[in-house]
Amino acid sequence: MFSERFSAADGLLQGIDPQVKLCCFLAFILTAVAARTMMSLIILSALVVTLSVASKIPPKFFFLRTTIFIPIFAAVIASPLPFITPGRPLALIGYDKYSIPVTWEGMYKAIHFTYRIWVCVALLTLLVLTTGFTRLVHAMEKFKIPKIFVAMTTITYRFIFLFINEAHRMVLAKEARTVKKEGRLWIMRSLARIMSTLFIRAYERGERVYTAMTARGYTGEIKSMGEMRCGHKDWVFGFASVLICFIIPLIEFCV
Amino acid sequence: MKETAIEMKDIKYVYPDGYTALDSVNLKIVRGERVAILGPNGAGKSTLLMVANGLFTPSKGRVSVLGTPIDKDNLYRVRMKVGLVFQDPDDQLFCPTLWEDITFGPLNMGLPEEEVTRRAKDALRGVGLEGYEEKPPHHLSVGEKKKAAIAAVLALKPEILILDEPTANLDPKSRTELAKLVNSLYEEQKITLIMATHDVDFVPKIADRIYVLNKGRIVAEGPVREVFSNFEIMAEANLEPPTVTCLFSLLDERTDLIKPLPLTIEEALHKIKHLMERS
Repeated sequence: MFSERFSAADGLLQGIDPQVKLCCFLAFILTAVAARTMMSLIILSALVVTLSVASKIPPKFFFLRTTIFIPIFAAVIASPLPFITPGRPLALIGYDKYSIPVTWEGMYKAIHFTYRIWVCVALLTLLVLTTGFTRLVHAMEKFKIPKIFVAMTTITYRFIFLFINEAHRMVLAKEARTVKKEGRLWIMRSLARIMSTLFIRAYERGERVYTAMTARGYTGEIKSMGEMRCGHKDWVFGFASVLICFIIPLIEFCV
Repeated sequence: MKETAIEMKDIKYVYPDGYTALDSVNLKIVRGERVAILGPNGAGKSTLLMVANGLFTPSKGRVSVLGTPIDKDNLYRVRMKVGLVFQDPDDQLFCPTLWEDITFGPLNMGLPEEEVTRRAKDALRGVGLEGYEEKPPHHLSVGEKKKAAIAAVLALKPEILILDEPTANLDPKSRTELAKLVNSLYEEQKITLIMATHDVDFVPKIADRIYVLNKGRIVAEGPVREVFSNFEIMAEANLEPPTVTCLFSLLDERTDLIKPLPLTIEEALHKIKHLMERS
């Protein structure tokens, strides 16, 4: 989820215009995806670390947040690579006749794959952590994403917590009235009931929210305030990012 | 003769499913009044407020706001004059941050940005939520959400403020704060207040006059003290007078010393002191 805790801090990335930031990070991610050598990834991860420190994000929190789940999952997916890639043998795993070789090339491939995923996840996390949801949505608006889609995103973001709470309360209320261990079918049936009730409640809430909006003069368009302008800092950041995204493939090409 | 704020003549409202929520409702509220609409659950209070704001068009009858009957052409202007605070603040606050919610109404009015900013700041200061601009509504407490919802309506600078069940789900402290807030709005901005509630202990603190609504009809009307003294009407509408009033009414069976019956703790205290001095 979007953390409003860090986006309000006074760091480097927090001060960059969200439109510029969105473009730059997209470019970084594309560079990371296209990177062929380990060197490029090391440069990019150095960049990620520098940016996160400059944006006052606690290193431990950042490391855990970016490593747990997606990169670990990626590592699991990449785990057969050392065994199936042909190349110089690194070690033999197994016993006697039933052993399989692990190759240098395969190892390299697996690490490279996982590392690349980590860099991408870290970049995205950095973007999300340092940009308030509202500002990100504003940037979306500026990139001419249809207004109705932007409005739906904001309203979803606002009400998702409410519905999670509501569903949670309903599940608890059901638990409170469950007196014995029930069969799977029974549980599924009661869950289905909860889901349908939640759907009706969401529908009714939608009606009420709409009425409340109309009461304050809503006529079909959510207006927003405040022009975002690029300052010197944004230009410098944007230029530096473009430079980095050019230099990395260039190094790969020359080496 | 004071100017009329809201007048309803012979209002009937039938929901699309055929349920008659309001029937032959007549009501007249003048400018600068504090009126409570009292009624049990399902009496039609919320529907009445929606009709007053022009959100619901009555099936029969006529509603006038500040002297002009509501019609299709002036609907939006009416809604800006009559600010409606919904019962559940989660229905009203729909933006990711408070600031966007507060500016939503003024921006819809097409005001210039400086004016919108000024109004939003004034509204937040008015309810005591300065510094909460960037907060997402789901991080606020219920009391804060309520204040935020009021601020979002105050930013429209309405002449009439309608509150639907303002004390619902509030803790005692938030309730007291709300009463203070509402009364300060009334005193400083001379705003006309209309509140739907069944919180009878709260009513004497924030209202001068009461309409009692039961099963879609107005069954009693008058100054707070007068209506609360009418125990039969209260009972008929599934309501009770404030707790202290009930208590003193039991004491009052033998003597007339206690009349008029106190409505608030302060009045009761005063009365007890008075009685003690006499004896």
